Amino acid sequence: MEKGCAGDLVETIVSKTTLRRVKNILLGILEGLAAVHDAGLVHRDLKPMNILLSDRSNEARVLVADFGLASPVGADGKAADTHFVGTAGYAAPEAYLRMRVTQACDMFSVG
Amino acid sequence: MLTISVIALDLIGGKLSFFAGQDHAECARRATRGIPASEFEGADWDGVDVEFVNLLRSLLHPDPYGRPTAQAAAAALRTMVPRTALPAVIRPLGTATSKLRRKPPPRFVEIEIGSRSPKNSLPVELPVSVSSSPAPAPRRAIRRKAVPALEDVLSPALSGTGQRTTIDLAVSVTASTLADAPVTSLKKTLEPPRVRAIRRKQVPRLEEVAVVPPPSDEPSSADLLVLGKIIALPDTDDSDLDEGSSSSCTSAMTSSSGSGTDATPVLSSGDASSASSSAAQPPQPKAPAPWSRLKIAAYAVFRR
Repeated sequence: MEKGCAGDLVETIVSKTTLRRVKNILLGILEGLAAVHDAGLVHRDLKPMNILLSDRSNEARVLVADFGLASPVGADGKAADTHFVGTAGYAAPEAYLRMRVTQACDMFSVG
Repeated sequence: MLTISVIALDLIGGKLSFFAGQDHAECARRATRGIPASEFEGADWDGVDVEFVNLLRSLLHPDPYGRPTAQAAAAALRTMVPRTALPAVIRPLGTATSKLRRKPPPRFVEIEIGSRSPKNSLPVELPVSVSSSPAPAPRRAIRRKAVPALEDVLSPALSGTGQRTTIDLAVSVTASTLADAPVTSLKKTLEPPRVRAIRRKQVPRLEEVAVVPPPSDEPSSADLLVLGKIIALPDTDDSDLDEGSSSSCTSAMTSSSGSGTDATPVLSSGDASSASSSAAQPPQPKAPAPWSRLKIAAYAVFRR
């Protein structure tokens, strides 16, 4: 398993990084999420603490971690349960409303 | 500042809203209400391009079906990320590929096998062919699996009293064999490829050793092929040996096994180089040399 040697995203957020690096990190997150969604999963707990960086450079690899709350989506593209899972402050509106979330809830967390 | 904490807004705002003390109900209320446009204004957003802001706003759409998919968002963001310079290893692509086309020179490693083994012998796993007639072809030597113990092979050949005996040696060495063999010296050299001949004082029993890589057109488990001759001289002083003489050959070696003291190895080269060997000075007939005193030094060519 690859190591996120530079820690999670919290330190990067606090240290006020450049816009270029923000875009690179977001691009890495989105590419990772695309792979997760292609696998038929929804992460449901995306937050800075679950985003790891391989190093501190602008071209650092972004690793999406902590799939403890991840859930497969059904044929309708929605997770099975309606419980609120995730972290308050990062969850999508439909999660607060106890709706069956889709993979779009991860996109809200990215935004 | 930012009232809802999501990753991109946190990154741009430089602040973790999650730790700002917002409770669950407040987060729910603000999330379901939507992100107002005023959240994307302020000093933190100076210099942020409009396309990027629009992408973030689409990601934060209250309606889940109004948000782009991860692939679509990544594709859109990819157009906004400035192209970074290629890594240094890729940047000089033309130079790199031209270097790749050139075949790197073989790496030569000088090894000495067996000189410090308990019996001062080659490891018995090494296939050795001994003949007084023209040596077998290298490929045949590689295929040879029935490997007699070196002692059994050499003892009859060295049974002559006070006679010079030439043994053709064809050894295929694998990496595992090398790992087991007592390698007493390992020295990298940048000598040209082909074969090497060794004649040195420290290895008095060795006349020539030629090392060639196994035939590339034939699959073989051998990492290198050692072709050489063991000249089993009677127990003479090292001063009897000619230090400077050397010879080279290519792929096959034949030798004459003589009983006289003037028996000189005859090397038949392939098509490239001819061999010239100056025989050791005629040793004085003495007691038969015990086989255990044989040493083999070789130039090994490691297959890349």
